[in-house]
Amino acid sequence: MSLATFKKPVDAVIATLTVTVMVALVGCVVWQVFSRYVLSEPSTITDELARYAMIWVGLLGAAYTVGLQQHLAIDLITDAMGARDRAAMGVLINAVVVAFALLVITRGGLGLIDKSLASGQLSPAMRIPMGYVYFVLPISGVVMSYYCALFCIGHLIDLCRPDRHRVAGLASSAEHYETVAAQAAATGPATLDEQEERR
Amino acid sequence: VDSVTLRVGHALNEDHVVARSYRHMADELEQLSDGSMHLRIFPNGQMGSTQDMLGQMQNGALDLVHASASNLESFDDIYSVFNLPYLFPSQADFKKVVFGPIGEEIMQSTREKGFFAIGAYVAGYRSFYASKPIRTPADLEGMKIRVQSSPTTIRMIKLMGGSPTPIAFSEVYSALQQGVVDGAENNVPSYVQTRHAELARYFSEDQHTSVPDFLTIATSTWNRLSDEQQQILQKAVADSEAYQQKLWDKVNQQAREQAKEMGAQFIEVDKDAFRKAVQPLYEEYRQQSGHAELLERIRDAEQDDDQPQG
Amino acid sequence: MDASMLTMFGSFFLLIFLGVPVAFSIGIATVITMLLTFPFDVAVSIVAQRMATGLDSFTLLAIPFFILAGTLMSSGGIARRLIDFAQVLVGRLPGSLSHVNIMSNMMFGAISGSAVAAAAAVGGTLGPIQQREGYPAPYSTAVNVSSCVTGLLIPPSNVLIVYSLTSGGVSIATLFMAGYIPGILMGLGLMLTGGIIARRRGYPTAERPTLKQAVQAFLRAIPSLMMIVVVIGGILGGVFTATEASAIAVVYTFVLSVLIYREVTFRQLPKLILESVVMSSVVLLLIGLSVSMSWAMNVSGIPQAISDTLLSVSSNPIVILLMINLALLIVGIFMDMTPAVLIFTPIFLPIATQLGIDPVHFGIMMVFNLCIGLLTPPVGSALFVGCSVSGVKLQHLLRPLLPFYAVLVLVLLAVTFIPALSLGLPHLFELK
Ligand code: NA
Ligand code: NA
Repeated sequence: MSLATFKKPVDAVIATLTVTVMVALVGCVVWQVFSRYVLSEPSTITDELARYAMIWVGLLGAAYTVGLQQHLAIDLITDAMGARDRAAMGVLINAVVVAFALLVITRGGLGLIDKSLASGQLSPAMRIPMGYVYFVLPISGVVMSYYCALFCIGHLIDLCRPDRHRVAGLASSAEHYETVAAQAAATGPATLDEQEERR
Repeated sequence: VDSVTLRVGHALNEDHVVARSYRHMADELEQLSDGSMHLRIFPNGQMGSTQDMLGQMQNGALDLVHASASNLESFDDIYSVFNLPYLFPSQADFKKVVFGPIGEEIMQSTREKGFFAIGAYVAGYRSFYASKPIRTPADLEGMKIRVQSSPTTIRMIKLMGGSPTPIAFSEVYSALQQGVVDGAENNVPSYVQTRHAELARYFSEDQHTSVPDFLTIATSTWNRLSDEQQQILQKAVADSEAYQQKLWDKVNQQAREQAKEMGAQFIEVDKDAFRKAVQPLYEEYRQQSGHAELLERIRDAEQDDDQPQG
Repeated sequence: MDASMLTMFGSFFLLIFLGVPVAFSIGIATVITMLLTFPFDVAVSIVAQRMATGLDSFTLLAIPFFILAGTLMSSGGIARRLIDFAQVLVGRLPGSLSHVNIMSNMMFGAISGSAVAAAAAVGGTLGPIQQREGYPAPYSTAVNVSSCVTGLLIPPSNVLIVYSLTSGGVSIATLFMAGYIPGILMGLGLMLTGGIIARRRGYPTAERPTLKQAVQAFLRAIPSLMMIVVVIGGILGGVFTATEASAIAVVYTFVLSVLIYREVTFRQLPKLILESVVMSSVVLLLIGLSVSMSWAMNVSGIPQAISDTLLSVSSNPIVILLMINLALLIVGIFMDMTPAVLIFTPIFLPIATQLGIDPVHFGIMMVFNLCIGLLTPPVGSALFVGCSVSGVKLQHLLRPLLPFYAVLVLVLLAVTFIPALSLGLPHLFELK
């Protein structure tokens, strides 16, 4: 069984979610303009709603991007290495990211949620508990760790079996986008128009 | 006295009256404690928004945070009373309530949540300013007024006949200039300092709200201080309150002059019409538990001449 | 240098050197530094909070929107129409296709907020044509790469939005206006250099277009160029704020490329949106974690310490600005633009304002400077995208780039020491 089997379902869920929220975000801000000019009754919650939705898109998208290994990095050293050393570095780097995602993003996020919910802090306009907004932190942290753990395993396998390159196929490829997009299209909203109509 | 350094965060710019009062407080604290107590001030929202800083204080990363009543409303509903328009008939009444026993009770209300307020600061009256005079609620009809995202303020503007439009503070200048909004509301020093007076020439003194600012402290920080340190801090805070009130009056007066020099006009307003327009807000407010009683006590305090004046 | 500064920068550079993604390097260096002062639970909770609420800004929302609009533009036939129009405008000059390339990048930049989108869309279309006409691929790639960054100064510009946020609320409308002249100067400087090189080497010039062709190219480009009116005109005319303008830009490009040009199908949309989510989240994660880093820097007093050091060397604004420029050029070699703006604005801007330099002018200078960094290895996104589009190897590109580096540094000096280049246009529009 290939590692990608474990990765694809997570990819599909996050991709669908972020694409949906992104479309909703555009709709939200367009609605803000529309309500001000056409309805002359400026919307009073779109501003806050859009800001919180962006936190979600940004951090979930960041987790997804970890899965594509597309966060900016300097590959100077690893590029100069042989296959074995590169795999070893891959284990190290991914382990470092797992540690950060679990200890800081997930644990820090949970601590933050805990404190926010305990103090009953509400958002200024919509009056929703601020703790709910922060829920994206542990979700994103766990997904990041999951991806990096998969990469770690892939690199370890590469270390033991240099003839097979699992990690190369796991992360980014044009084909990958296509499959995820197809899944997103099948399960999620297909078009801007449909989204607008549903709202 | 043991040496201690307290971290204070605020989102005001360094010229702001309260920011200056905090610097005054830092000096006082050094003096009163013979150089053993220090304030390290992080101004300008360096540490984040007021909401964020309050969270950081609950976590123990900051010791004191400056917050307006509107910010604190997110933590305890009792602070929402200050957002009611025309709550105080005069600034004297404001001081009686805020610096009296009711104020003290409100300031202690969030103690269970990890922090409470140890100082209160005056902020004058907030009024409308726009490119045309607003003398009656009818003048406000259909005007887009920039507001902070606060449900009470939004409701208030709607009741008065305007269209409340939440816009980020940093974008208000261009929004006024380009006509995204027709007006905004704030006190006179802010009207001048933001240079909004250049764009919205008519400052219509309907004086709808007078919302106090507070200095909050982490309960854990407070408990960590010795009795002597607590007393010294309390004294320095009290001094900064007095300093701020004096400075406020002076700056407010200067700001009025400056506004006029910038070409602004101050418009007298029929406040009764506005007061009448917002009455439904009071009815709605009273329906929440405990609110009617709090309002009653505030009204009593205002009528009571024997209360100490801050 | 005190302990916290050493810890922060030491661990940060070690981590990015090892190949840990820049965003995570920032986050980890921040946590390590904070552990010097705070218990573990406090440190991680603060970093998590800054990371989330660092994105809590309506202004910031313009970035994913402009990225989405740019993605739709790149695949929606807009670039080709702009290139045809540029051909009519500058195709007759000596060095014809170089000018077409630069002009197209400037026009594409004027409707999109990202440099790499321009490099890919314009370079991808023009590259093969240039090769057919006898322009050496390394040279034409150098032209494409160096001119794609004009779009970061010519509004709309995502990096100026990032600067606006980091600088504590310099108005976006003002920054946008301030970017026009330096961006256009950058383009003109590159055109001049390209023209001289092309004339010396005798590169061919395009045939004169017929009047009919010219009019047609113009008419076909109008809907794309109307974006400038809608977005920039909308912001200046007070129809909407920058963020609202960016959302309108998405709708506008959607209508243009999906409904009118029909070069993007509905089936392709989720993929394109997902691509923009990925590109945006790279920037957003960097912003979130940089916000936490700047919190830790403030608590440790690092910006103040650096500022004191710099000002102890000299208090002459010219000297300080030269030093800042030199520092940023070095930073730009190793760091991408967004993290550089996020990390160094809080450090250098207070020094600049102390010397009486306008934050708007400073921002334009900083972005201009870091544009050059996008064209230098080892870290240069414009360089990489340009190479991957044209298939030219990096080592063959550096020589042809040299004259362009030189002219960019010259224009940078002009932008640094002539504030009017940045501030003239905003003053004309009475922007604060
Ligand atoms: Na641009
Ligand atoms: Na570089």
